[in-house]
Amino acid sequence: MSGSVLFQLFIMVNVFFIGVLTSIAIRHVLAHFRQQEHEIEAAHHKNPAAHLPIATKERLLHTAEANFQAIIDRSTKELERNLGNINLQASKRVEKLTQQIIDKETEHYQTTLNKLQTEAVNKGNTVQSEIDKYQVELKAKLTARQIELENQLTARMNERETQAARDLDTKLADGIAAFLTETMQHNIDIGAQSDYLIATLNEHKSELIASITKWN
Amino acid sequence: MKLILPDSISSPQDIAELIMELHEYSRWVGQEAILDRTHAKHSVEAPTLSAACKGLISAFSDKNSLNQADLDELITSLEGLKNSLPVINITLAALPTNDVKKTLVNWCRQNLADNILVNFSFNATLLGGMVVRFGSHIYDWSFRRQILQNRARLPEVLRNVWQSNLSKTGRSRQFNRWSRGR
Repeated sequence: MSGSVLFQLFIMVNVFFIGVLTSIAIRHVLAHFRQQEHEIEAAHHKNPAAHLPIATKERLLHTAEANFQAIIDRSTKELERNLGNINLQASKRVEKLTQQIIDKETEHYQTTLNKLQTEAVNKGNTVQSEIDKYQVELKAKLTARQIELENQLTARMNERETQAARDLDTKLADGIAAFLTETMQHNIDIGAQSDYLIATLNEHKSELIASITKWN
Repeated sequence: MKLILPDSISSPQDIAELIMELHEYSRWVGQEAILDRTHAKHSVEAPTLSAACKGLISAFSDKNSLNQADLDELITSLEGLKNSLPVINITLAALPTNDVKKTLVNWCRQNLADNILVNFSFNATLLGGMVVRFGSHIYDWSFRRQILQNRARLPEVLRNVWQSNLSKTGRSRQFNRWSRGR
């Protein structure tokens, strides 16, 4: 952007200088032709001046040269002054244009910077909100997992306690049964069990009769 | 004539002993008959018969004594009974007395079959009750079996007893949990 503007500026300056030079050239051409016309008029009046002495002619020539030189000098000075003005105006113009460009670019840069900053802030907020959301989800998952693990642990502990109680009951029952078997097998009084034996036989009489019937 | 065995004759071994006694008595009777026929002097005393044998002889015949033919018939009947009668095996926790034997044999012959034979044996590990075997059937009505069958209830019984006894005293938390059956 700034390159094209500078190029345009350069082209404009060149055109200006060309215009100035052209105008100066045209003026010199006009001056030259005016001088020719003057010489023609002078030639028309030559005859009247034919009789002028050489010194006068030289004096006139010198005067003409001086006038021409003065004109040249004046034109040169005017040209220098114009060039100086042109340069000054061009410089001012360039400076103005440059400042405009700089201001414009600075404004654009600032706008872009603000836009980027805004986007960055928004993205940062978005990221932060996403992070917060993810943290909340993660915490919820962790809490749920913790609860699940605690429940599993509690269930396993209860199961183990139950199993331990069952094992204890089994061992206790086995111990008591072994103790009873060991202690009660001595000094058994069959006579005291006589009624119990008869009662047992009466209770299971049908089974015995069925066995004997089957055998018969 | 149907032979009725007395309750004291309960097992095949008893019948075998009876048969041996009758064999000996029959031999003596035969010898006495020969001595009688030859008018020889009787030198051998009559063998002592058991009460069961005497009772059987008197039950077998109206006469108090039998000749050799009758005895042989009796012996044959007894051998037939020994091989044909049903035999039940009763195992008790200790050696049964004669009264217990008679009671059980009497019950068996009144409720199960006439002249059923009963073999008695003992196994102290039964603790009480009996194990009855007839043919391929075994009926375990012993105390040991009942204890083993209900041994799962023993801790529950203990808990109930201890809970009732310790209700006035403080209990540990572990005991509380065990007593609740956890």
